[in-house]
Formats: sequence, C-alpha cells, structure tokens
Amino acid sequence: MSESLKDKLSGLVFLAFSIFIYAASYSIRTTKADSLGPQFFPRMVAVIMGILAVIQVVTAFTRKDKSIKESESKVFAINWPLILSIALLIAYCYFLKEVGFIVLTTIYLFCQIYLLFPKGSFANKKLLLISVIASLVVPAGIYYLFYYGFQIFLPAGILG
Amino acid sequence: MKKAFIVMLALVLAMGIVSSSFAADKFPSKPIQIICPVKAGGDTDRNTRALAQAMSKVLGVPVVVANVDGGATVIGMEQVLESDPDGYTLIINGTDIFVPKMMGTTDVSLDSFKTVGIPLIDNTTVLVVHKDSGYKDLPDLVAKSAAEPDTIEYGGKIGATNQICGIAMNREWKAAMRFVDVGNNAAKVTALLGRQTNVINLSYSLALDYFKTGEFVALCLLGSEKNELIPDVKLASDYGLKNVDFSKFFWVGAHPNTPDEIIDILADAVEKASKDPEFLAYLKANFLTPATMLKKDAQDYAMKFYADTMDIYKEEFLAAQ
Amino acid sequence: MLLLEGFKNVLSQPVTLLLILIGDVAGLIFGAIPGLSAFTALAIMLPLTFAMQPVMGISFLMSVYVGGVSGGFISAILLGIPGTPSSIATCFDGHELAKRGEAYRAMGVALLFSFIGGIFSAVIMSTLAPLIGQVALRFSPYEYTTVILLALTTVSALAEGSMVKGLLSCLLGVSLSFVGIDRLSAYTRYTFGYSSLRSGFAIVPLLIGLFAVSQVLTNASKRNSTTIEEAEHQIVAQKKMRGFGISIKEFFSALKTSIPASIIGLVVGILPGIGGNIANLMAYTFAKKTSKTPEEFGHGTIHGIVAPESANNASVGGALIILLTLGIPGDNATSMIMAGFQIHGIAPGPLLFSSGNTLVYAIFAAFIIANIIMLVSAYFGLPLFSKILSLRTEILLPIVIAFCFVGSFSSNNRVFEIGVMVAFGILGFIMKRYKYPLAPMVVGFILAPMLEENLRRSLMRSKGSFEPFVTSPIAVTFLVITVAVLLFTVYSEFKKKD
Repeated sequence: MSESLKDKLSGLVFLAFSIFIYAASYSIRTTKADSLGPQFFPRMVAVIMGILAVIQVVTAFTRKDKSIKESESKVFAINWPLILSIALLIAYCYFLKEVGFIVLTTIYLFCQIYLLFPKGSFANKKLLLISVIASLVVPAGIYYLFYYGFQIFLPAGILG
Repeated sequence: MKKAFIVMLALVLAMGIVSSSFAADKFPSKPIQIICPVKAGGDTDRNTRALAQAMSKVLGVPVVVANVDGGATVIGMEQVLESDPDGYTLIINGTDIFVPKMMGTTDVSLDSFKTVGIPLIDNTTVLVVHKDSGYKDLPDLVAKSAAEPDTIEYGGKIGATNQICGIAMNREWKAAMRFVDVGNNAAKVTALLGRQTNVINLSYSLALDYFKTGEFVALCLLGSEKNELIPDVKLASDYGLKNVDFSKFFWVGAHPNTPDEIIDILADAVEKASKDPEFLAYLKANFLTPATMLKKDAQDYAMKFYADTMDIYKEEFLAAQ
Repeated sequence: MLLLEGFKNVLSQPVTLLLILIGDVAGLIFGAIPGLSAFTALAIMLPLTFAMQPVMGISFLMSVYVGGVSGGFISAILLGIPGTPSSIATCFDGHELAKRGEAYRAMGVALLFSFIGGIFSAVIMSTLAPLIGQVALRFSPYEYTTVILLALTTVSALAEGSMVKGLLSCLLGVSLSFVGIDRLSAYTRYTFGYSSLRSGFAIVPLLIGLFAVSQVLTNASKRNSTTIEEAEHQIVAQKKMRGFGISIKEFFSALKTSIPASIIGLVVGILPGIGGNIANLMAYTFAKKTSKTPEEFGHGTIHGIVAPESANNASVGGALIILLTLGIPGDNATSMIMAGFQIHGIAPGPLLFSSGNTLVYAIFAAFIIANIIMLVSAYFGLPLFSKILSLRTEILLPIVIAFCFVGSFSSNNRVFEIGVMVAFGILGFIMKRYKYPLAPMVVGFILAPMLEENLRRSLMRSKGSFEPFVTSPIAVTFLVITVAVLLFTVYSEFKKKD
C-alpha cells in the first residue's frame, strides 16, 4: 500500500468512527445536574474528529505521492507470524482463567519466541535451549514470586 | 523442533497433575482472597486490610486483599459472583453497595450475596464547615440556609451516598442547601480548606488535624447514636432536629451458592476477628465502633438500614441526576 | 537547621541507610518492569514497614517511591517501552540512543538528571513547602480547567510529522476515555451493555498494550523477511563507557535544559492528579520548542532525556509538598505513602509543620538521602542494565510481555485487563503501520477526563456561567498562556511550511 492510500483509508476509518461516536451519544442517559451534560464532550470530540478526518482524506487526495508507484508492490501474502502472534495473544486472554498463569504463559513464551526467530533459527541448539529454559523458568518464577513475595494471586487454573 | 514441543507439554502436564493432587478437603486449605471493590489507599481499603489480618490469625491461612476498582463497586462484586462458590473469594462493601441498583444501572446488590457478617460500623460521618464560615452550630446553619435557599453549597460526590445525605438533610431539617459535585474525600477536604465550598460530610478521622487546629468545625454527627470516641460532636437530635443517619456499616459477603458449612466457618472467623485485641485497637484509633452481626442478622440489619435511611429518598435522588 | 536535625534523625541508625538502599533497588526494579510502578511497589512494600520504627519505615517508603519513579527510564531506554505514563517522553530519544549502541550513556544521563530533578524539588520542598501548600488551595475547578487546557495544548503540539494525524490520535485517546461511568452523573457511557466496561479502560493495560504488545507484533510481522544472519546482526554492540557517559561541557549544557524542566515538574506535580503523568511530556515539548536545535529531538539527543527525567523526579517533590502540608494525596502512589505515614502515627497535614515536629524534617532528609543512594546504587547497576540488551530480542521481548501480563492483571486484579492490553496492542500496531503517533493518544486519554470533569463541575457551581473563568486571576493567567502557546504553535507550523 502506498502512503497516500494508507492516509485515505485511515482517514475514512476515523470519519466512520466519529460518526459512530456521535450516533452512540444518543443512547447516553441525559442528566441535568450540570448544564453541559454527559453528551456534550463526546459530541464535540466527534465533530472535531470528523472534520480532521475529512482534512486528512482531502489532503491525501490532493498531495502528489512522492513514492514511486507501488515499488514495494509485492504479491499480497498472508503474514503468518503476525496472524499467529495475534491469535496467540487472544487465546491467552481467553484461556487464562481456566488454564492458569504458569502453564499458559509457558506455552505462550515458547510459541512467541518461536514466532519471532527467523525460520530455522532453532537449528542452533544453544538458542533452542535458552528459549526452552526461559519459557519454563520465567512463568513459574513470576508466579511464585508474586504469590509468596507480594501476595498477588495470578490465576492458578488447573494447578489450583 | 517437534520433540521440544512434546517435552515441554509433558513437563507442563506433569506439573499440573502433581500440584492438583495436593488439594485438601478441609476448609480453608489455601489462602482466602477478599475483594475490595475500591482502589487501595482509602478508608474502606484500610478497614479491609485490618479485618484480613485478624481473620488470617483465626483461620490459619493467609487472607489477602485484592483491590478490584471500577463501576462504583460493581466490577468487584461481579468478579465475586463469577468466581467459584467455594468461600475462597469474599467481597466487602459498605452502604455504597445500594447506590448502583438504586440508580438502575445494575441488579447486583447486597442480597445478591450470602452475608458473612458485619464486623464494624463507621459511625464517624460528621457534617463539617470551615471556622471562618461563621456558622455557630447546626441550627444556625439550617436557619441561614432556609433564609437564603440555594446559596449555601454542600459539596460531595455526585451519585454517591453523600448526595443522598444532602437530600435527607434538606428534607428532614427543612434546610435548602445546594448540592455541588466536588469529588472524592481528598477533594472535599481541599475544597473546604480553600473555602471553595461551604459544607461537606466526612469521616472524622480523615480531617483529624483540622479539627484539632479548630480550622474545621464538626457541626453534628450524622448518625443515630452518639459516638463515645468523639464525645464533643453532638447529634442532630441534641438540637431538637431529626437524626440523619449516614453511618456506614462494613459488610462481608460471599458467593450466593457458597455451602452453608463454609459460611459458618467464615462467619465464625469474622466473629472472632471482630474481638481480636489488635483489631479492636485499630477500631479505637480510627473512632470506629465494633460490631458482631453475623449472617442473617447482619443482612437484616443492612436491608433495614437501606429502607430507613436511603430508600425513602430514592425518588428525589434520581430526580436530581 | 531543622533539616540538619532531620539528617541526624535518619542517620542515627545505620540500618536505616541499608533500608533506603534496599528500598531504592526494589523500587528501581518495579519501576523498570513495564506495567509495574512506584504505586505497585509501595502497595506491596507497605506491610513490611509495620514492624519498623517510624523514621525507618518512612525512610524506606520514601526510597521505594524515589526508586520506583526513577526506574521507568530503564525500560524506556532499553526497550522503547514506557512502563508508566511518566516515562513516555524518555522513550523518544532514549531508545534512539540505545539503538545506536549508546544505551549506557542514555541511562547515565537519565539517572543523573533524575537525581538533579529530585534534589531540586527536595530543596524547594524543605524551604517553601508550607507556602506552596497555600497556593495550591487557591485552585478551584475553574483554575483546574484552565491549567489542564494549557497542558493539553502544550502537549498536543508534540506530535511528530503530520499535525492532523497527531490530533486524530489524541482525539481517539479522548474518545476512549468516555467508556465507563461518567464521573458527573454516575451513569455509564459507551459500555454497550458490557458490564466489564463499566470501569472504563485502565491506563496501565492501555499504555503497555500500545507500546509493548504492538512491538511484539511489529517484530513478528518482520519475521518472514528476515534471515537468520540478518537477525544476528541486529544485536547492537553497546559502547563501553565510564562515568555517566557525558563530558563536563555536555553536563552544563544539559543543566540548562534541566532547570526549566524541573520547575515544570515541580509545578505540575503540585496539582493533584496531573503530576508526573504529564510533567515529562510538557517538559519535553518545552525543551524542544526552546532548543536551538529542535530537529535533533527524536533522533537521540541527550536533552530529550534530560527534560523528561528531571521533570518526573521533580514532580515527586511537588506531590509530596501537597501531601505533607495539606494531608491530601494527589495520586495513587502518594495515597500509599499517606497510608504508611498514618500507620506510623504521623498524620500528614498542617499540624506536621506547626507542631514543630522534627519528624517532618526527617522525611525531607530521607527523601534527599534516598535520591543520593539511588544515584550511587543505580550507577553501579548501569553496566548490568546494559547487559540486558545482549539477550536476543526474540527472547527478551516475550519475557517482557509475560511481565506485562502480570502488570496488567495486578493493576486491577482481573483477567479482563489483560484482554484490554492485547486489544490496545493490536490497535497500536495498526496505528504505527499507518504512521499515527501513539503518545498523543495516551495524553488525550489521561487529560480529557480531567478536563471534562472540571469544566462540568465549574459550570455546575457557576450555574452555567463562564464568568468565573475570566474573573479568577489564576484562571486568566493560564488562559492567556494557553492562547500564547496555541498562537506560537500555529506560527511555527506555518514557518515550517514556507
């Protein structure tokens, strides 16, 4: 995507978002304790945001794109490490309560480290070893430090 | 690569099996968590910590306070309702527990839980003015406010019990103070010190220094019984006015499906804790009144308190929003 | 001379010095971990002081506070992740320096000027505290509204690159702050029926999501286009340095940046709730706008570290002044300090000074000593901190995220906060991709609720009239400065275009 297309697109998203904020302000329960009320600020913000979003889109259209036409125009490829990282994080939140901090964080750490290292890095046995040790030691270490040291109970899950 | 995954998984599962086999059947066999539905640092938090310490002594397991703030105490309460009904997660709250339901923003209230007990009552809410304000005593304030309606400002937090208190005072004393939002307790003290507001209500211990210097004057105790630890502060009834009771009970509850045997153990612990010498010393230092109301008795007390002191002002409170 | 008494009081038992050292180091570690802060450290350490004598307990708490506020620069510089809002501005130049292999120098400067900011506020505190306390009492909602307006205007001029994008980012932050209970009606807004949203978004998960989680996603997205060899070369060799990494000449030039920054920190720190969160950004903007070489900011100038670090440590002194003279805690961290004082039978407030209590000077002395010991102990830690960067980022970053999980969770003891963190991580990633700056969003998120609250509160008090804003001398002063800043920003924006 070229910079100007990005700017147009994001401008439109902000415009849509500002309309959404304005529309949703109608469902706020009105109160009369103060003269402005709870809707004033959201609406003001929505209006200003809408104006700025329009400016953003318009300037993106009028501006000449300096970047050479789609020089980076690669074939659109799915970025698996990114998508898997996002999925991993969402799954983490979803299962944390049931599975518990130690087990889930261990899994998370190892998978995330794997997803960050370039493909084939783990052929290096030393890196693999460090990664495994880190994934095993850090979560348990954090959990017990907080449990005994600070009396903060992280979700215990299946280990509870 | 695959091998590493399998080894990790095996290790993790092994840890799970080993540790879950330690689970015991006697209550309590692990630390108990008390959810404090407001931020750390205030008086509710302080009371919770004092109680937790005393309960821990009785139960022989750590009793730990976790602050879960937000939604006018609703977030913390919901967390307890979502937890396992095993008695290891308790909730504390005070008179503020009724406000969200009163406003119609939630169904959660005191009767959504099983009551464990009420180990203390905070009968230290006083009506405070600055010494430079010139109000001699309570009748003087009431008379001046009635003479000039809506000019004397009563500062508090909107949508909280102290707004209801303002309504109650106006109605019961035929006063006409104007309610203005000032903010939390710290902000109320600042506002009164800076003479930005005329009258506030406040827990006595929060401005002890200013009462000692005479800068703040406590016009009356907003309770229905005298607090012997603050002998100088009179009740409204001492001036022939109706008592407006905004004392605060401190309530401990548990998930509604908690087995009765466990509630019994917890209630017993609260009872013993409320008689712990250290706990009593803490109460005295903060002018608080010890109480030992348990289970049904405590719940009945709390519900009656709500009906007598808050529910009757509900309409006016909602209309003021 | 009373201050000398205070020093005697603190130093009479050498074990106190040891406690201050422990407190400083513990605070520093908490401050360095994203998601944990001075407040977390204080909340956790407070019970430890129960058994101590008053002077010891207070000295310990002071040192935890000082260490906690200072520690933020470590993760800001090494990882580019601000652990608390008070170290956002430190990332801008600090992380740039680290990427060039000058992490040691960046941290040395941050440490030195944290110290200078702290000592500056300590000096003001021990001489002018009661006076300043009286001034702070003159602030009613009218004055607050105008001062927050000034802060918002100053900081929104901060945006790098496109002004429109910076403002859009700021407004996005503002609109996120609407979620939850409206503070002036006690009804909920923008929760769409989700009960968990009643509490609104908390600053900790929002901040570390935007900065830390988005970083992991950015790195993951580059995985396929990086070879093993390239990844190995990404480890920047950190230059070995000695001292604080700057020459005497550089020090004096930095001092010129530090003094106004410290004043900004102190003044903003006095105002409850605004304090350290914003002081660092205001000081950074001020330093940049008044600098002869503003173009260097954001590309690794030490002045870009000096300003925010001086300011956030100076704001500690400001917050303490209000706590000690008026007994009013300005933020979470000071409310924990206050709880600690009360446990030791000291009620912060006017009597603390008027009763001629020497303990108050022991507090000042402890604050100064804690700053000195922090300087010394962290100085020896500098090589150690730089070592962290020799760990491969691919391993370090996920570990940081593991701590972020804990930080988010413990900020309100619920799993929901981790979800919020992840959501903002994804949002932050997208915004970075589309070249929207993240700092204005955080600023909008922090300041907008205060602006709305105080403005509506003002109008509630004035029965809808705007008159008090122009009749209060303090409010008028701030309004005039705000307009001046606004005109200056627009002017320099036009000048840039030409």
